[in-house]
Amino acid sequence: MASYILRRILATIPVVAFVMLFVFSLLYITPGDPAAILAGDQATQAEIEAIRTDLGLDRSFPVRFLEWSTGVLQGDFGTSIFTQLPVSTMIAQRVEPTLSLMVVTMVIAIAIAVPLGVLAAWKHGQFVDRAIMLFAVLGFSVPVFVIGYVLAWTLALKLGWLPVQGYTPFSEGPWPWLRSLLLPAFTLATFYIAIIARITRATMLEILQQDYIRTARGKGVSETSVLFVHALRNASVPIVTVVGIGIALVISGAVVIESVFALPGLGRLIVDSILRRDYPVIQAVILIFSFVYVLINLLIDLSYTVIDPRIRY
Amino acid sequence: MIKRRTLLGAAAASPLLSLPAFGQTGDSKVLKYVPASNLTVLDPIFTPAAVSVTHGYCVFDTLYGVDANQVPQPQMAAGHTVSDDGLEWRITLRDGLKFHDGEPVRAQDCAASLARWAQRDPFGQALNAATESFGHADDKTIVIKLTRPFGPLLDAIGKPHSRPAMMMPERLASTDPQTQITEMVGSGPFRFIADEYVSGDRVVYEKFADYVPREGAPEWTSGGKQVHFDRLEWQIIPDDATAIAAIQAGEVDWLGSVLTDLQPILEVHPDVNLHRTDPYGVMHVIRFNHLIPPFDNVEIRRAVMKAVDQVPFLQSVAANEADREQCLALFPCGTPGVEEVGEGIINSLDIEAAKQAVMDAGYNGEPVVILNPTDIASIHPHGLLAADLLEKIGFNVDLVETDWGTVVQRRVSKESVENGGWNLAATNWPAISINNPATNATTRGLGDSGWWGWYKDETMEQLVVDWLGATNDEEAARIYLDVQNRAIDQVPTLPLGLSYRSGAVRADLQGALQGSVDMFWNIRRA
Repeated sequence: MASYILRRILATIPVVAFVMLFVFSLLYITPGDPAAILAGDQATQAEIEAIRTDLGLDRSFPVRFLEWSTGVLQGDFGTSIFTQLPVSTMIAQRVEPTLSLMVVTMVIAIAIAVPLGVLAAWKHGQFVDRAIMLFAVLGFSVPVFVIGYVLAWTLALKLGWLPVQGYTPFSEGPWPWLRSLLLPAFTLATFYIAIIARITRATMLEILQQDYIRTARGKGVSETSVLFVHALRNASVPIVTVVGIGIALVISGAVVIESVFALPGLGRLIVDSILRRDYPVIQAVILIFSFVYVLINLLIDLSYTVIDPRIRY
Repeated sequence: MIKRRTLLGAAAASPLLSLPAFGQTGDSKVLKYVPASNLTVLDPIFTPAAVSVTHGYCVFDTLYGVDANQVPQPQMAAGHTVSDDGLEWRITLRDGLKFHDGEPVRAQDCAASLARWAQRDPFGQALNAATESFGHADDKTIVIKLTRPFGPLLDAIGKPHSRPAMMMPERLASTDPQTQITEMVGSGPFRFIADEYVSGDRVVYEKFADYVPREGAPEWTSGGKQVHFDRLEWQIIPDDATAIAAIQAGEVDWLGSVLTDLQPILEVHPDVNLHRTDPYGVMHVIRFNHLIPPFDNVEIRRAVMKAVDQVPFLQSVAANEADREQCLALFPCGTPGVEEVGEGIINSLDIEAAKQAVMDAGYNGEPVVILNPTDIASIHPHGLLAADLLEKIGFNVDLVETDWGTVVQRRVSKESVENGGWNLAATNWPAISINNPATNATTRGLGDSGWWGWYKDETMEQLVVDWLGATNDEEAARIYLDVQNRAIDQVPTLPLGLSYRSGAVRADLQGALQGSVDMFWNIRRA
């Protein structure tokens, strides 16, 4: 097991190296000039050139890439072209909201989706099953920003129960923190509720046809025990896989949700940075995202051994 | 009969029902403001961006401000004297001025600040060209020595928008003008709290206790800047609908800008008032590339201008009639000295006549590239409407729809369209920032060293020099009119009229001022 983990960790090195080169190259050839954006509408060409030189944007691709990658290896992601703040500082300011959103979203999604999926499988073909699947189709199909606006209008604006926007750090108390996240997290969770519920239902339907389930029922095991102990545990591997992919996908969902609910997370940071071509920030955030993706995949693979003792690496 | 589950359910729900409206400010000492865009560049001399100017007026002060008639008034200055030959200006500082680091404001600081500003700002560059030195006689007296008379000197150093001449400590003002200043130490009414600044989310200021306001009522950027809040918090809300919801819910006090489509929601809201800060509005223009065909031909530019009906262009960015105004001139109507010299010229031809005029002018069918940013709501419709108009009058249009970042890069290309160049691009200017011959980049004829589009006109530049050197108001007004006529004759840029933006303020706030940007003095909670 230890050697497997080590091999997987070592395997991330070429992946991250490739991402570094790919992202840097992509940004290099992407149209757009941060110097022109920074200089403003009134700027003359001479002013733009002066800023470009000052920022080092006039240097060749190999020189810039070498300088950046050397810095990254030393833990220095550079300085934002626009704010002149260290990129690591900007990222550190944004990690907590995104991480919080990710955790609360997945907790809500799993807490709702798994029971719904089990219920739908148990009541297969009946009204409850169809109602849950209808909800799943809606959750899958309606854009999250539409759900966000509707929920914000209802729960925040009309009822005043939750804030319309903004993020309260955890350091100001768990309850204010959670309240600032409930709307965006539930909005984002609708998609994951839909997808996890569907996977849970499909897997459970297959498991519930198995002989050992019939045997358990024949022995008089309670239906709750049959569903949640005998069936659900055996259905867990595909569910965990989807949840793991879901965690990775939450990052992309955060881009929209953080904008709609004005959460100061990494999603908004990267959108803002892309729009103004703040290359050092874009490169660093994408690099971190890719690293997180690799890490999540590793954790998913390792979790299989816990869920299913037959799986060994 | 009440069942146990019903009771439990009710008990569980009761805290939710009694939740207070979360996020409502409630704190009478904090003003919460949502700017129209994110504050990324803190240095208000480095960039002309409106949001940086707004920030600048919090942190910094100016030697002179302007009143509602755009007349310069002393602000940090106690007054000034001018030598008989008009070549030496002495500006005396008020007593008691301090920077946020506790140091006194000295003439040396102001001279260095003026010198840096004069290298970045177009009006400042015009002053710089006529200046021998920015110096000081003593700690309280700034001395500006000129090489030739410069009539609008106070207008220049008191300009209220797009890089106002803001005063900084000498150690900061000595920074290269091409390098941003990130340490925010000014002598303005608010102190910038660097530790709480999160670009893209939050900007925080505290009332500067040692600020010494002038006597008298505030007006635009002049007068007594009395602050009635201990703390000013900017919150960046990128989504317009969310910002509207936030002010309705009382989570924020002031929106810097309200999207025209969303104004009707706030117009009927009992707790929110719309507020128009800048009465002069925004001037919309389309810029020609003067270096390459077909718009290097003045006859073709004239034909296009004669075909332009400003109304649809204005309707596309301002839904309410009260929020838009035709302006048949290349200088913003409503600002002092501007006349609609384009009357009888702009929109004087119907489509067929304009088509004929374009052909007569020698257009030979080459593609016309229009750069159009899809992510800027106040510009994008103008690209579409321009493409439609030009196609109707016979142009071979290539509408390039892309994002703003790409537009600003391609816009500085002087190449032919086949090699990545362009012919037309729409943009807009705060009217107050182009309200005289020296600052109006859309009409200046500097050629290669000027604004993108690179309009070259030596006659125009001579008129600008003459205006700057005018020794009395009558002479200046006469030359200004000549400039306006020259501009409408040569069509360096296509004028599309004016629109007015509104912000929104909670109804319990009183005293929001008019000005070039939102300003946070005088306003108080009722």
